[in-house]
Amino acid sequence: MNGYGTALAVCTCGGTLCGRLDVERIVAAPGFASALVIHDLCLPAGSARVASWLRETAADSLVVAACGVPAAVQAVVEVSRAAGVAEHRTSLVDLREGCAWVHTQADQATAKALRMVASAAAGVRESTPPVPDVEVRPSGRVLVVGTGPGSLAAAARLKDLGCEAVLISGTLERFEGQAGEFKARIRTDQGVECHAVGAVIAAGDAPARMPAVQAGQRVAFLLEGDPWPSVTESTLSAALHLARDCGCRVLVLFRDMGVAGRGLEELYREARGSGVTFVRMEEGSLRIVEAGGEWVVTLEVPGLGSVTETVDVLVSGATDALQGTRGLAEVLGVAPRKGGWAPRERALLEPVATERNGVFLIGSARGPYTTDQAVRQGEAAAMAALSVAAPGVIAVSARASVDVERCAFCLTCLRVCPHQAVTTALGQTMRVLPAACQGCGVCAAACPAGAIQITESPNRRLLAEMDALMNGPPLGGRPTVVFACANSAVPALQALGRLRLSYPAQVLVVPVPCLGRLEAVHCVRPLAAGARRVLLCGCYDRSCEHLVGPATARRVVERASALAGTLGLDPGAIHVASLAPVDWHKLGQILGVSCDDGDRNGGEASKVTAHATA
Amino acid sequence: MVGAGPAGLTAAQALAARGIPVLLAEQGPVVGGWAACYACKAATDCNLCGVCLSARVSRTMQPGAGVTLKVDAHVLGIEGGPGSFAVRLAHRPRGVDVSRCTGCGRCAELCPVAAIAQPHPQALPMAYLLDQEACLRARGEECVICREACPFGAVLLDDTPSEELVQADVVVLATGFEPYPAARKGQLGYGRLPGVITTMDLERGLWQHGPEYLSRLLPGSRRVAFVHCVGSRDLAAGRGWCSQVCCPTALRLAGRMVRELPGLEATLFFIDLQRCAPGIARLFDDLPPEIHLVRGIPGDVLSEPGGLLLTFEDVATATRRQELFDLVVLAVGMDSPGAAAGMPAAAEGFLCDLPAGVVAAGACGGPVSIPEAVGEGLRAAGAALRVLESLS
Ligand SMILES: Cc1cc2nc3c(=O)[nH]c(=O)nc-3n(C[C@H](O)[C@H](O)[C@H](O)COP(=O)(O)OP(=O)(O)OC[C@H]3O[C@@H](n4cnc5c(N)ncnc54)[C@H](O)[C@@H]3O)c2cc1C
Ligand code: SF4
Ligand code: SF4
Ligand code: SF4
Ligand code: SF4
Repeated sequence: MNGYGTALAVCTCGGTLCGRLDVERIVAAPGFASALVIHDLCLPAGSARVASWLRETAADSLVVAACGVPAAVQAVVEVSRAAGVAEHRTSLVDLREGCAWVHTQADQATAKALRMVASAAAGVRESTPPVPDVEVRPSGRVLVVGTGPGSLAAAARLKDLGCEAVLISGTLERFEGQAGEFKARIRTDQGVECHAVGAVIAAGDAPARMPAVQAGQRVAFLLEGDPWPSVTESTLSAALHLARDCGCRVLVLFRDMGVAGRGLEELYREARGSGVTFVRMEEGSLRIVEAGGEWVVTLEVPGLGSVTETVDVLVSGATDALQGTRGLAEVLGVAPRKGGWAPRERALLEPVATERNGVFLIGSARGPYTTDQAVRQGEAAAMAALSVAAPGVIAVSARASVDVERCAFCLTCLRVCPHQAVTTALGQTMRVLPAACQGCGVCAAACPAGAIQITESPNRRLLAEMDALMNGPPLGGRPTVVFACANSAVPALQALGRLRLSYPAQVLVVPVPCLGRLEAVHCVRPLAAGARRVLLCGCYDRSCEHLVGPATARRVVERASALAGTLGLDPGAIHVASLAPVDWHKLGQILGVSCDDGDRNGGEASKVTAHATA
Repeated sequence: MVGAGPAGLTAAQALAARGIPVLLAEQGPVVGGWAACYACKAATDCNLCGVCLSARVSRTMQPGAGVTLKVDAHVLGIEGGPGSFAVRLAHRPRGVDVSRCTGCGRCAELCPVAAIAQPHPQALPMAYLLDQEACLRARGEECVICREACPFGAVLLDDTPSEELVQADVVVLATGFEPYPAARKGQLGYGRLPGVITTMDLERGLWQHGPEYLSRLLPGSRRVAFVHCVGSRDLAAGRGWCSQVCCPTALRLAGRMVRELPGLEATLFFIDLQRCAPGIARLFDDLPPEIHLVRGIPGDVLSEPGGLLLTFEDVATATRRQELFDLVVLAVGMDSPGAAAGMPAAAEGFLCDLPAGVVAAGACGGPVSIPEAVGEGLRAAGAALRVLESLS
């Protein structure tokens, strides 16, 4: 199959890279069947030229050294398609933002460029064809759990969009499968029901009912906990109703009024204007005594002294809003978070998603949201569910697969997969569910038998790329290897490039889908090959879309450091660092570059979002 | 689709994913809305400010994914009804052809007055911008350096405004908000006293310059005050709503700053602290000792020899107190930008009662956070699909 070899195309970005790199030397890189210099890959003329050249060379694989802009990525896809080169046998090297723009010495930059190109070539040679597509055939049915306003809104919107909402009255007992083809078992009073659904939208139940109060009674509402918008909504609407329509004397005792929801501040104002008395409590100043069916509430108000009120009914606002959904979250296979709400707090999973594809949590199942917020989330979730559950045929290719010959059946993958994408059944092998898998690589790194391969970057490919990067023309010093998470470090690195901030050419970057993809061997191998430092740069714990990336990386680094020690390598050379994609400053700090170079950093920022009047 | 903030981008991508061709018009030079220039607010761990989310929504906006993106295109007006809208677009001259510029930067290297530059280091599109006012040609000189320098023929020195009429079946408005103009509260000193900034300034400053922003602003500043509800919950200012994002934003910004700048102390002045946004409950539970909470909002800020003097009624002790600060950050609220594209708006200016076939998404309908704006985008996409289905 490798009969025709690998072709290399180098784009000079209109000649602007020529002074910073020795392009002649790069196109003459060893190991390529043919090579071409172009100046405008991302423009139609340039990509057309590459396509016709590639067809002539009859190469079966392609390395393009250009930049990382979307248009270039697109061009490589189109070029390879036009020339009949399989997509997995192409590789794009970011020579511009990742090399030419960030290194000041042309000889070192060129040496690094040669290593990057060789690494890409080694990678395409070790690439594996994609796993054949699997067809998922959602029926258009979506399970809607809960009876609250969010569920109703979701159900109505689903119907509008051509899906069928399966509303249940019972307890969800079991939930398995993958997006597009879940199976749900529900226990009702009559027995057990089973439903095949493409997605699930789980919301809480309808908000708490009005407290039992008779007209003319004296009522106090006690809001002691966090200022939840849902509590404000239910308490204040009840208080308003009692004061205005039932002739009750109403007192609301609170610390912070939670008004962070549409219409809540207005409701608060209306209640104040309609005779409800609001008294702010301060730490430790409240005393409540029950006496003969009445409550005596005494409050120390700074500046006013002590206030005493006797009421007939005392309502604690916080309790009725705490509808933790721990149990529901567990059945749905998503981790509960603080306070019993689900899913786990993750920046990239807001506002309706969970770590499990096709499982959406909204309203009081997600947090202390108001009716308005729950309805909005319900309608958003309905649209999101459409992408996995709309009737039709969806072709998905597995981003990870298990080699059943090697699998030791230890169930490690099943345990570690953050997206509930590994499954097995009695008498069956381990299987990755393609519509659930997000390609994070956590399972591959954890599998003791090395039986799982990530399609895009199987271990052999990753190692071949790393080895080629570590061995090549001298860089003027010992390399630092940076494993860069695709969600955070890669975009931040690109920003450093766009700012032309220079860092040493010894910094060699290996992109990974998630830090959880890495094993100890990946960290130690560069050290053994002469690296000075190894850095794992990725998200923070709570911004990691794959939940466990940074935590896994910290454990791996511990193990790798110990391993390095026993091999006589520097055990203090491997580190993990967290950053956001927008925080190139932090990346600069990690790499030892000063980023504050005056106003060059987005010097135009003021214009960018300025809503100038037309 | 009008406006490419987190809401508009999400709606555009969600519709395109259902096979609906989308034209996304953005008046600014790049996508992302306000959130494109916000800082990460992580301290030891991420505080779920949502900026990662909006960054991802912008990043996944790839060419050829069913969305035709027009930047520098301001929507002036919308006429017609479902199935037959005519949308009037005004193109602002960018001076650079977006479809040809590769961002190589040669023009900027050579321009003698730095009149051409990239919008920002993560801009999409990354095409450069020509500042026609700073350009030597504005002074009558015949400079063509950048045009000659550009290897791709992308510089359009004589770019002029133009108008265009496009047809659409359904219109989604995601025109966003404006931050409250803090200078209107003259007694707080914004725009008058050095050392008084807004949370928007702080977001953008940290984003652009990193932690050094503060020392650039005020070397040696140690005492920072955050004043909440500036231009929100304030009927006198004509703004009777809670903007919802400012409490969490102030908390997160304070959290990041005290962590990164040793010796810094931050005091938050508020009436009711909204702390139910994602991640905030946790931040609040482990509040660093350098963050102080005071219930009470200062009425004015005075410049004194020792710093900026804040006078406030401390609700907890019912006493009038004064304290000195080096830096005062006003937590400005979210305002409506006024009638967008000639559409009806409620008294507060946020969009409401839109005509059939027009859907609103995001902050143009009322204050939302980034995650909520993304949800709004999904929701509007669903509403738009429903309109489309009723047409066919
Ligand atoms: C100081 C401050 C700090 C904040 N910090 C946070 C935070 O940390 N976390 C968080 O979650 N939220 C934060 N927010 C809120 C956040 O900014 C909004 O939730 C978000 O930007 C709303 O997105 P949007 O898409 O609705 O609107 P916008 O971001 O305003 O985007 C609207 C877009 O529409 C374009 N547009 C407008 N009119 C037209 C027209 N006529 N034609 C064409 N285009 C048009 C605009 O140019 C803009 O790009 C903050 C808000 C403020 C004021
Ligand atoms: S790659 Fe990630 S999501 Fe896929 S099966 Fe492995 S651990 Fe699960
Ligand atoms: S604080 Fe905001 S920008 Fe920073 S990692 Fe978290 S979500 Fe991302
Ligand atoms: S020289 Fe041309 S292609 Fe390069 S940045 Fe300037 S306008 Fe864009
Ligand atoms: S979020 Fe906080 S600062 Fe903003 S308006 Fe509401 S209470 Fe005031």
